[in-house]
Amino acid sequence: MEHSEKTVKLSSFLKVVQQSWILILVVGILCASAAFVYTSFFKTQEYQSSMRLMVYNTNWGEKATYSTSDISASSAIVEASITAIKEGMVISQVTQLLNDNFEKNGIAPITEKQVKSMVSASSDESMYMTIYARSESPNLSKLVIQAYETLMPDIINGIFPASTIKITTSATEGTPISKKVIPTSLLAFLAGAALSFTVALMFDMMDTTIKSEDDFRQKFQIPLLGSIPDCESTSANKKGAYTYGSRR
Amino acid sequence: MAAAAKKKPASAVSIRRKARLDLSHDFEYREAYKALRTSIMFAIASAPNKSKSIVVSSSEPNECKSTLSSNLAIALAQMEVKVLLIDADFRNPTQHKIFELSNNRGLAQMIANLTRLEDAVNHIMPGLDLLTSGSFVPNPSELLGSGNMADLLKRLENAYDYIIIDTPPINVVTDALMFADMTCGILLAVRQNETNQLSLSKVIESINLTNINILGAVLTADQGSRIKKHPRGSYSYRYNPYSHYVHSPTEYIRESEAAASAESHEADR
Repeated sequence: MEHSEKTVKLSSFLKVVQQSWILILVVGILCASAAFVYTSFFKTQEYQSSMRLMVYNTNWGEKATYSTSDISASSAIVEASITAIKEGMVISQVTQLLNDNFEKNGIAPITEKQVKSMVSASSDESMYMTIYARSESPNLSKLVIQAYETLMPDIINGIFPASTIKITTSATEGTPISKKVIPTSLLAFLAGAALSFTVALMFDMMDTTIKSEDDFRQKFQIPLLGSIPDCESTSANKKGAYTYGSRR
Repeated sequence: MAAAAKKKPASAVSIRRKARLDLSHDFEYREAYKALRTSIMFAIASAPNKSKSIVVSSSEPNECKSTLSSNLAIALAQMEVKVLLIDADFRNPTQHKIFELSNNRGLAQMIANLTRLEDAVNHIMPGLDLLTSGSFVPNPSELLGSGNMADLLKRLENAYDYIIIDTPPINVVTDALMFADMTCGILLAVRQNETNQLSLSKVIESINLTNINILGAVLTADQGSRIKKHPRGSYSYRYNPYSHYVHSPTEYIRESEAAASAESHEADR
């Protein structure tokens, strides 16, 4: 059975780049400019608040230094806790606490989904864990972190009863997060360039015109007697059977 | 008298004015035609039909076939052979525009036996004559496929060493196929980045079906050849300085005009 395979050579990629580099560059620059304008002037400023806590085994007590095995054991608890902060039950408790405060102060309640989208946590493979909250409001981000600060010791103790939680850094004020204008613009440039390259490559692959002497020789059995360099063509006489035959 | 006036060689300036025949064309452009001329001479020699006529056609319009025809005819005429360029494209005649000539009398009148060859043919340069398409005809295909056309071709082949026939594109009209079996074959103009593979395949199929010989194809408007064959500083550097020593078609025309002018001045004295 005959299989028709279309292989794309590296040279055809290079040829597309060579032919369409202006298009690729222009589209890339346009995308980068659009991303720059959007991130600089239209993207809403976000604020981030955070807290840092330390987790260790209650039996060890608070020491000046911990052994590698201690750190490793604590690290496992920290990792589990990171997963726990976005669990439904935890989110529900945090939201409940926040809404109780909001109700007292006459602020509109917040949903669990909103809380979940705001929080994140990380650890540096040590006994320490940092919880972050992002929001368009610096106060809200701080309030969310404060809610976690209140609830986390009980939550972690609920999962790991033998652990002790020490808050090393309390909820910070919401600080503005960098809009990352340059990285976003660079990424947009690359995306635009890749998109235009893909389009150019698709057009090149769909183009069934004779492109070179080699192309002709590969596809046709008749002899190629010569090759004449580009001659001037009359722009008025465009290709088309409909116009053909009108005596001018 | 009128015939004599008509026989006056076309002005070299007027020929050069047309971009397609302008010999301000660079060295490689002219050399490409010389290389093509050689290839075609070999192709004609090996063709099954021992005719001296070549039909130049293409699959679609605007593939530089008229330019190819005229410049090929000029390149052949440089070899001190007698060449006749015929414009058999009744539907979109071009050769008279290239050479800035009248198109009142030409091939149509010759086929219909309405004029004499001497009156219909235009002398372009030493060795090169042009038979324009002539005035409008309502039935080009029938005219080209007629017995008169066959007789005319035979007569012309006795008078000329090579006959280049510019014809309409085959996928548009079948005019070229009507008489191409009387020639040594068809030369197909294939324009780079314009001619569609499917379109060209269809033409080749049509030609093969009519059992007409295909001499070969010529890639026109080749943009790649300049870059590939003449990288800056190598080929160009080595050969271009000598280009002014080469006897180019326009130079040839210019020199022959000057010689003719000198002769007529002598005669006037």
